[in-house]
Amino acid sequence: MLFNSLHFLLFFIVITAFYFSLEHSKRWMLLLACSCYFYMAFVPVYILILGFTVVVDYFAGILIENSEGRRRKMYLLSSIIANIGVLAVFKYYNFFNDNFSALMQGLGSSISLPYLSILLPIGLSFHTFQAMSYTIEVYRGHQKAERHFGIYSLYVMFYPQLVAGPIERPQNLLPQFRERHDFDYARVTSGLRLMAWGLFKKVVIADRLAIAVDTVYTNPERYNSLSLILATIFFTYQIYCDFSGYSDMAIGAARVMGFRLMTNFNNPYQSSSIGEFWKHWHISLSTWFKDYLFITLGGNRVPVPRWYCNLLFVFLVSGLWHGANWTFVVWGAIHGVYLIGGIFTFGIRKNIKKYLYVDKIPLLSVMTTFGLVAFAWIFFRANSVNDAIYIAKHSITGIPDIVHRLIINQPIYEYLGLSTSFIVVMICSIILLETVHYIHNKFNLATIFQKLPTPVRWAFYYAIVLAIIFFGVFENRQFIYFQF
Amino acid sequence: MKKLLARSLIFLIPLLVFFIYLEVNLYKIQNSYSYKRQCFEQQLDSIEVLVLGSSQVVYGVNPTFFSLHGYNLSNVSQTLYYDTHLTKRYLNRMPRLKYVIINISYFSFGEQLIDGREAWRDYYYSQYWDMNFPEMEYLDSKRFSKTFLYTPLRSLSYLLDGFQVNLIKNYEPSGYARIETTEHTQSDSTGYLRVRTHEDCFQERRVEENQRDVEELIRVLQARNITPGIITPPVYATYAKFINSKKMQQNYDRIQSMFSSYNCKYFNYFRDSRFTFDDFCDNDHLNSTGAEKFSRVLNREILGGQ
Repeated sequence: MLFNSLHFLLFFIVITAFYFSLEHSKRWMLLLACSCYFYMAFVPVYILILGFTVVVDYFAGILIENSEGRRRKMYLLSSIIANIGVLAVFKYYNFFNDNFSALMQGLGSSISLPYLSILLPIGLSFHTFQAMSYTIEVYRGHQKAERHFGIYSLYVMFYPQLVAGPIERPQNLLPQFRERHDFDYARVTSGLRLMAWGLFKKVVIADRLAIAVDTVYTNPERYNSLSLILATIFFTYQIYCDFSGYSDMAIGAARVMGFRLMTNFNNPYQSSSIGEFWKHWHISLSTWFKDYLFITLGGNRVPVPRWYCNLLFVFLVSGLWHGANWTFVVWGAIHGVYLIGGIFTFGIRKNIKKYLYVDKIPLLSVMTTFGLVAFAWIFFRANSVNDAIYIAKHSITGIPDIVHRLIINQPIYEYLGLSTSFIVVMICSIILLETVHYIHNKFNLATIFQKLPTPVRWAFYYAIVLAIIFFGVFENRQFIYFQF
Repeated sequence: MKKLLARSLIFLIPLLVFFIYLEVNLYKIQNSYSYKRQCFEQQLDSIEVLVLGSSQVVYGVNPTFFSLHGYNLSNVSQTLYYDTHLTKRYLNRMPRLKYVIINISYFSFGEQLIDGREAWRDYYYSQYWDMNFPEMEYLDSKRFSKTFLYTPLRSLSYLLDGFQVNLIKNYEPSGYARIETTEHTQSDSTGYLRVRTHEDCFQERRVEENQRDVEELIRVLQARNITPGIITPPVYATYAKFINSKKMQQNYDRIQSMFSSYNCKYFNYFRDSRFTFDDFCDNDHLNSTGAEKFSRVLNREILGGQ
């Protein structure tokens, strides 16, 4: 069930109405049942995989808490192996198989493994990581093992964040299932507002941009340099609006019912360095990797070469987490290199900036970071590494042609196959998005909204509802991150 | 809770009024689906030849040139699924039906609307023919609302035009849609893109179900002494030259092996030299001159007319 579907709209209205009409002690049952329904709306049988993870980690949590020493570690390892095992079979097996077969062919052997013809369970990496964070936190003693099987299942399966996060920590989410959530008008409307904004980002911006991006990235060789650059910038915003739109809807839907989910995005494209970008992009995943992988490897309290290796390793794993394809691995590697390069050259860059007085122009750092992030997205979006290299190369080598066309006053976007009005609408949407972010950074938008007279506030609501309806794309386009 | 409900209601009332107004007026607009159904149902008693297929047939077969009373039930991107199910649904109501011409193109066996960019057309069949493709999303706004069916933005433009739009200006009561003879847009570049588009529509996993549908249709027709005639319409050289010959051969082999067991005739006009540049409006569609020529050929070679 997609958040941008009529099915979800009806589901959400019915479930929320039921939720508030039920007594507190029974609400977990309703939430668990509707979370199962929500998940089974994709491929029903995959609930069994989710069930397996839930059962394994539920018992692992209790066993870890009840034991000590090596046994405790063994239970944690068993739980992690079970979780990673599910990921390995359903997500990485065919990737491994393809590479193994290619390697064998290269060595002149015809040995090959059987191909597994299965669909990837939706949101597998998300709920697996959330389940793993529970057993790790129990092992570290930061969280008591949950004895209530229903409540624990709900922690893994809570429908707003089940398939695409935010990846919650047990300390934040588990206690909330025991809290009493009364109907609070201000909180409910704030949740609904966030959902509407998320939906706007998804159907008006992301899905419209997707039309152009898909066209170019499907056959990059047909397009000129400007088309490739535009499509990459469009994808940079598409993926942000798609994923942050989903997160907003998830956080909003949970907030309506009284749950507080962690912030997942915080204006990432206004970051002035790659390090800052990762503090503002997919926060729940980057903190997961920091807390459970980077720090476990020794973090930055190790010799410098090891620190760099740790960073690169974490980003390679992060790339692989996104998908079983070399494109994602390269994307992760690029970010790892950016970060290491950033740390390595920090002093030099600081002196150069000071010398050239560019440290007084923060926008320059923001634009450079944006350029680097956009460049890495090429590898994330391209269908293959070869395509990505083609796009990256031709985006740069075709620039003289664009300049030439500008000089002789020829249209420069003709090959994109889009009308001028489409490009204007898209650029206006992006400007609107960044303006809203900028205002939200300076002043608290929610507070401003509350202070507005009702007719003005309602005019805004009508504008956003009508924009969603009339400018939205309603083709049941999946959220990009569902595939992870 | 009461405050929220009351305010939501007040907020929604103007929106609801607006949408009801939009829906009522969009409902009155005729499109190719509603118009075809209306004309088809009016002629059921007298139809002797039924023509099925996609856009190549919509613009390429004009039943007025048949010596028997024909109706062109094809529609743009209409797949074998709809050809089969529409025919089966109306078969009992066409007492004079003698021939059914079924168009099988290069890509027909691997195509289902739901897989591609034209998935929205499934909802037109749902709303105007009451026919739901089994894999279609049940709770989709396009199934219940004309605003979402036409797309909200287009609906808004219709509203701004006072709903004075003509979506069936090329369509004739025989089901044929006329493209004027002056239009010629065939070229190598567009031909290549057209072939690529069609090849992208082709899904190997759909072949079996489409074959099953066509075989069932043929069995049903033959059981009623109705003659099925399978055709592959003509295309211009700028399309034919980019075809994957291996895939094309596979398609022919599939058609031949399928229909030989049903003793069913196959008429392949794919590279027919009788159709020249002036007969086409683009790489794979005939214009009105070509349609007249092709319809006369079909009349002679399939219907046994003059």
